[in-house]
Amino acid sequence: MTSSQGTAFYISVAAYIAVVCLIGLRNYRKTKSEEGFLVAGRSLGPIVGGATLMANQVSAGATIGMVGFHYFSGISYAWTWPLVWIGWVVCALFVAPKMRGLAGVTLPDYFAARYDSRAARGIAAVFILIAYSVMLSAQYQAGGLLFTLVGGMSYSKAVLLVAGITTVYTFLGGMYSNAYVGVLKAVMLLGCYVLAVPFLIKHVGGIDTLGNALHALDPRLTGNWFGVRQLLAISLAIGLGLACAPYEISAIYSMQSRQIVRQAIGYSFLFQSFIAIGVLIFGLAMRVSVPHLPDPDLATPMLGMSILPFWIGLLVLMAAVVTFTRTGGAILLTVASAMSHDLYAKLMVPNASERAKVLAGRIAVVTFSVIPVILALRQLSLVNWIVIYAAKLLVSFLFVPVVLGLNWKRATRAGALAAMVGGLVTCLVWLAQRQPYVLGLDAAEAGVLVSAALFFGVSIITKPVAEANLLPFFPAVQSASGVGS
Amino acid sequence: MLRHLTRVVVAATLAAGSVSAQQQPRARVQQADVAIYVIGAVARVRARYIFAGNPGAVSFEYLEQPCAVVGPIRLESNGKQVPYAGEATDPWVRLHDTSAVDPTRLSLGYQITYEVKLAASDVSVPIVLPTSALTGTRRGEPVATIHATLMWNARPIVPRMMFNESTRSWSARMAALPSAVRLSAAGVPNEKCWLEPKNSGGLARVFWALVATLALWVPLYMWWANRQRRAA
Repeated sequence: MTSSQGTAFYISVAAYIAVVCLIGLRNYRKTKSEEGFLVAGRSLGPIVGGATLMANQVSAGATIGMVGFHYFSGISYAWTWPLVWIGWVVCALFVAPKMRGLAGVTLPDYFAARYDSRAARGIAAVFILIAYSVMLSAQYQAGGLLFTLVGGMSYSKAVLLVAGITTVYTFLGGMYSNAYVGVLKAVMLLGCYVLAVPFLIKHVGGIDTLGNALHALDPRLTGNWFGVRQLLAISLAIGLGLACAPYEISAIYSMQSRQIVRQAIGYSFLFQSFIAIGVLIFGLAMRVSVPHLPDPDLATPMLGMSILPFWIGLLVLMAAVVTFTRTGGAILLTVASAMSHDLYAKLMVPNASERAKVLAGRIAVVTFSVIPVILALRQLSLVNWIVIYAAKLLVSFLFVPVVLGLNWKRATRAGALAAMVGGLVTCLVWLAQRQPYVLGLDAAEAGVLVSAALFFGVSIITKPVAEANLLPFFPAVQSASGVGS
Repeated sequence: MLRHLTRVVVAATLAAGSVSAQQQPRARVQQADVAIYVIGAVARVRARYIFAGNPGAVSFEYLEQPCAVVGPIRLESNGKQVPYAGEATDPWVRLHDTSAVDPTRLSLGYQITYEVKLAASDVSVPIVLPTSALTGTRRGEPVATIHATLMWNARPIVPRMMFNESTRSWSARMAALPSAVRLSAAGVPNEKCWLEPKNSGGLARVFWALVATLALWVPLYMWWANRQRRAA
């Protein structure tokens, strides 16, 4: 990158910081209450809601990591998009309407309400703190890499800069900021893919010529680098994980009604379709245009810096910056809410005032931005691997007690606790093994299966939860008990 | 408990990540300089590569481009011509250094020279690249340099290069080399030339199937969601 290009990049980053700070300041006065700070006062409509859901899901794992995945593994990984969407349909059918009906603030609120269990709330909150700190480190790592390459600054300074941007606007505007920066992210991503993809397809001589060059390099690039079994396992982990992901649940809480949530999921699919095609073409075209990158995660930065025309390249780089700071913001808000809402306000100081709760949230945003910085400085692995393995742990821990618990009345507190701990331990044991895994099961599949077995087995032999706890989730209980009549 | 859990989660992520890291090719090329001189409808290319350590058997490759005919390639090391064997896997052509590998050598330099006959005004000049990745001292450090000296009415399109007024040439520093330098050369006559893709591995079929799946999914889901809203 030339000095003038570097200058243009920094001016754009400065403009972006100014915009997100303005968004944060504009929404600062709306975030005097905890509900305003953590769930945007439940005011989001379908398009802003759809952009928020998409912006949570499409992280650095997609714009940096997934491009790198396509670079080294070809087209087969792209099938994870429609497979992951099955998880969203599960969410639209079985999770979102009931969660929105609860009108909570965090996912652990659900555990406390459904299972009448402070322990379940506490364990869920602690797990979210740990797993999402690892996931947040992937955003900082991708950001650090991009700023190092494009801006020439040291990796450690770059990680600190990315963490700073993310922390400032989340601190100021909470979920309101995340929602509107999510819209900005959607517009920038659509813009960069709509402009860059036709250029790249023409540059490589069309899809057939691209296929010819890839197939000659390695036939698996145009065929099945990842087999059906692997794709299903990864999609299961990510898709079902999304159906119960704490930051997506917070976004669901933030929307006006359960009908709006279902529409928002549709808009999210629309945004994701463009992104799926974009990251695929980016990865494949880069494999032919620059066939020997020292690191697949460099594909997007190099595309923006050296391959695309200046303004389109700058848009790609800025879209990447917006991506990892915005997803980082959503993750940070989730981590902070687990600390301030679930651990501080619900377990430690139940009588805390609204002002104290918002202050605790803001302090948690700053505090829990530091831990992922330390992890990012260690550069754990390729960005997309971090995202995939964090997703496997999340789905093993949360999917059964959330999705099945919302739809099976007989589930009990002990069953939920056993499912959470058993699923997580199983997934960790599986991940610690060398492949191939026992019985051919992936870590997420094993985690979910053990979690489900414990959930049903322990629930059946333990005392059911009180009907009052089931009311928000099972209308039939409401009519049978006469509460709703 | 919290600290222990953190350690376990991070260790599991690291263990998982190390599998992928092992799949990456080992980087061996320390420095690369490519110079292209375009005069009329001919591009002369001179590429210099320095390998760190003992690279063992060395191979190079280039991607054939339409309207760009690559002439005889000369491979030299330490000022001496090096024998090589060519292998074509269309559209890639690989050149394997067939000279005996000296197990004691600590570094190795190559110079590759060739000419490319251009037959279109928008044309890509193939670069003969090492088949292993370049490596810098830090992640993504630019260790490859490309210089292009072009006619007054020509300019590089890909990769992006900067014009130097004093040397009247274009240059770029990159973390990896492109497979070709695409030029817009107004003075070169356009001939009808086309490289017919021989085997695309069904990429177009899979690609359009994916596009169709995504394109169908969105309206179907929206129809269902709107129906649910009306029912409510």
